[in-house]
Amino acid sequence: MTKRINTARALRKSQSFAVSAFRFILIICLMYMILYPLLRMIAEAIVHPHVLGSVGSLWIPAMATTDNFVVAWHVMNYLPSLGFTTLVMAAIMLLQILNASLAGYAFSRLRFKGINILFALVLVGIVVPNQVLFLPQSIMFRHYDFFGILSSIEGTGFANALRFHIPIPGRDPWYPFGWLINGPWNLLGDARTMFVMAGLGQGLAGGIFIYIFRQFFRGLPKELEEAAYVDGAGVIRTFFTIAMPMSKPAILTVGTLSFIWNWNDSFFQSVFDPRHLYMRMRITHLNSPGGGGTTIMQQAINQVQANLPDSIVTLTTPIYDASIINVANLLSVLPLIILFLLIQRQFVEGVERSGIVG
Amino acid sequence: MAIKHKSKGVSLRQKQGVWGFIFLLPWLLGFLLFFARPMWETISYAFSEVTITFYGIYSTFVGMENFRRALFIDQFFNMYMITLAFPTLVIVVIVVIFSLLAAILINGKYFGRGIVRAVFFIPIIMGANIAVAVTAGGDVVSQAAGMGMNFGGFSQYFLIEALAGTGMPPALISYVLQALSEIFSVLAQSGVPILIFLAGLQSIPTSMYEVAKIEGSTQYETFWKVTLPMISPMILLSTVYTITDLFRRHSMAGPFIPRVATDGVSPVPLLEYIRYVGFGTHNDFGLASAMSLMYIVASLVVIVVVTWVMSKAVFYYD
Repeated sequence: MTKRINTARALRKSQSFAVSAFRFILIICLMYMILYPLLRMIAEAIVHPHVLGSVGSLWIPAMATTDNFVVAWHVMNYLPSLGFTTLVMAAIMLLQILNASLAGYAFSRLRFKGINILFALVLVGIVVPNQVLFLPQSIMFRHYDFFGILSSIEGTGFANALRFHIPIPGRDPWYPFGWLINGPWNLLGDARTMFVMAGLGQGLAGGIFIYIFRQFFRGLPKELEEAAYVDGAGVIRTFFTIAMPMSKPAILTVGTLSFIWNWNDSFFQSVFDPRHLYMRMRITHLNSPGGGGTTIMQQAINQVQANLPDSIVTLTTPIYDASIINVANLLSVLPLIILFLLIQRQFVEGVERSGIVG
Repeated sequence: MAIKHKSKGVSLRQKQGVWGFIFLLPWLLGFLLFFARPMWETISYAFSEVTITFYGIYSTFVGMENFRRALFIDQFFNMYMITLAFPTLVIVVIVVIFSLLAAILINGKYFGRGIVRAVFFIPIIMGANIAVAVTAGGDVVSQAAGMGMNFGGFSQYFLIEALAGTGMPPALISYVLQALSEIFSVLAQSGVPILIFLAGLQSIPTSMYEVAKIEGSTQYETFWKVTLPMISPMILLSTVYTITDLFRRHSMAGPFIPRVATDGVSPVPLLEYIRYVGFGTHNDFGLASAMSLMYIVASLVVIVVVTWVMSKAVFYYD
């Protein structure tokens, strides 16, 4: 009797060992496949230009070097772009958090008649891709006008304000008075455009963030806020001193996703602010074909040649251009990877508790 | 006192409603300015012949002409629309199943849990366009090796041999191969769905599993009777998320997205093509608007149908 139980126990034990071993192997295989692009990028980045493209340097380069990083660093103008991109993305992140938390709170707690229709509109906004609306949007920013106020100051009247209009020297009486009353503004090519979009909830994935906050606030117990109301706190005060401090998981989730997605996104930048100060924009620019027999990348390398140490080898082949682009891509996601490794734990816990799923 | 209070006629609920409207104002303003208005303009341009000049946009009403041209005259658009839904849905099914299995795999407590989780969320950071650019066989070494077929294609050859040897029907083999050739896109796409599933798995009360264990159900039964019903809302959520994400990604890189070489050289996906029609040599904004409109309607229809069908099967615990 005891013997039989013992065998059964041993069998179960060996079974569970086999299961966990299988699971472990599966996890390792999947991890390899997920890491494959990153490993490839790294393996490619450290290959010396002289052995670039040889089959012998597939994973472990025959000649390893950090030259490519130095070249990409200079070509990308790395530190200034890093600083600028970080600042703009952080500002966009804060605006998106503010907007999404306000809207999410209203959708979950401060309900009024017809609010469900508005929420349905949020969902429609998630589904419709930004790409199909960008032209009217960009025209609007090209001739930005506060509901026609700027145009009316100019004397063209409200009716004209509905039509888009660029002031012309000589034709428009107010022209010398400069940008302030000179008809609609051109806000394209300005980070403010993206701030306006983000702050008004139409930035990248704005609808998804509202959804996350709504789900989170719905899962919070109401008692604390009710207690605050009983104690005489107003809605704003309750929101900022009770609800927001409790919603750290949601803020963390939305903040991380907003920062990372905006960082990697090239669409909003390419439409609203295509300056090469942003890392994505610079890489896209470097990747584009040039004119006059050389590529943009080669022109950029020539420009920074004087700043490069003498020992560094640069080539003029397309393969070399591609490898520098690869290193530039790697350098552009490097800050994200470091950031994510730092906050990964809190992020995952935040998602688990933020009730995205509720 | 109470009567006096009542005579003011503002209850807490009404007050909250007013504040709710105020809280929603920024979003509402943004929606009207940057969504509703551009949407309305797109709709009105879709029915017009549009000329963009230095002084502004002028349009004349032409009825359904743009739609007719998009569907019957333009050489690429109808091809896009036909190939739009099917590959997307195929990839969505693969992504969702893979994400669910991956989430179950990495859920729980085991050695090295932190590292595994960190690795599984790397697709969220990498951005699909970067990951796909590297893995589509277009990387430097594969190109330079000049082997005629890249490494992916090389290993696929053995796989075809092996699968054909098992006597699988050819249709199934090609499906498996398609899924495998897009494995990196699936991985790149699965970051957020895995996150959703992982959070869903955490929210299942452990008491349910205990009950199942006491009742003597096997792991297999537990999965079908407890895990799957409890996680079905998340399946719906991640399906809808993946579909919208793919539809949005129709302007980006990705081997599973239908592409057509409009200039005969470099294939572009649909949204890129629409942009090209609106701004490129055609400069035909009316036609581009009609195309965008049809694209929006098509994606909305797909999402609504999928949601409706799936919500029949979703189980809500409370």
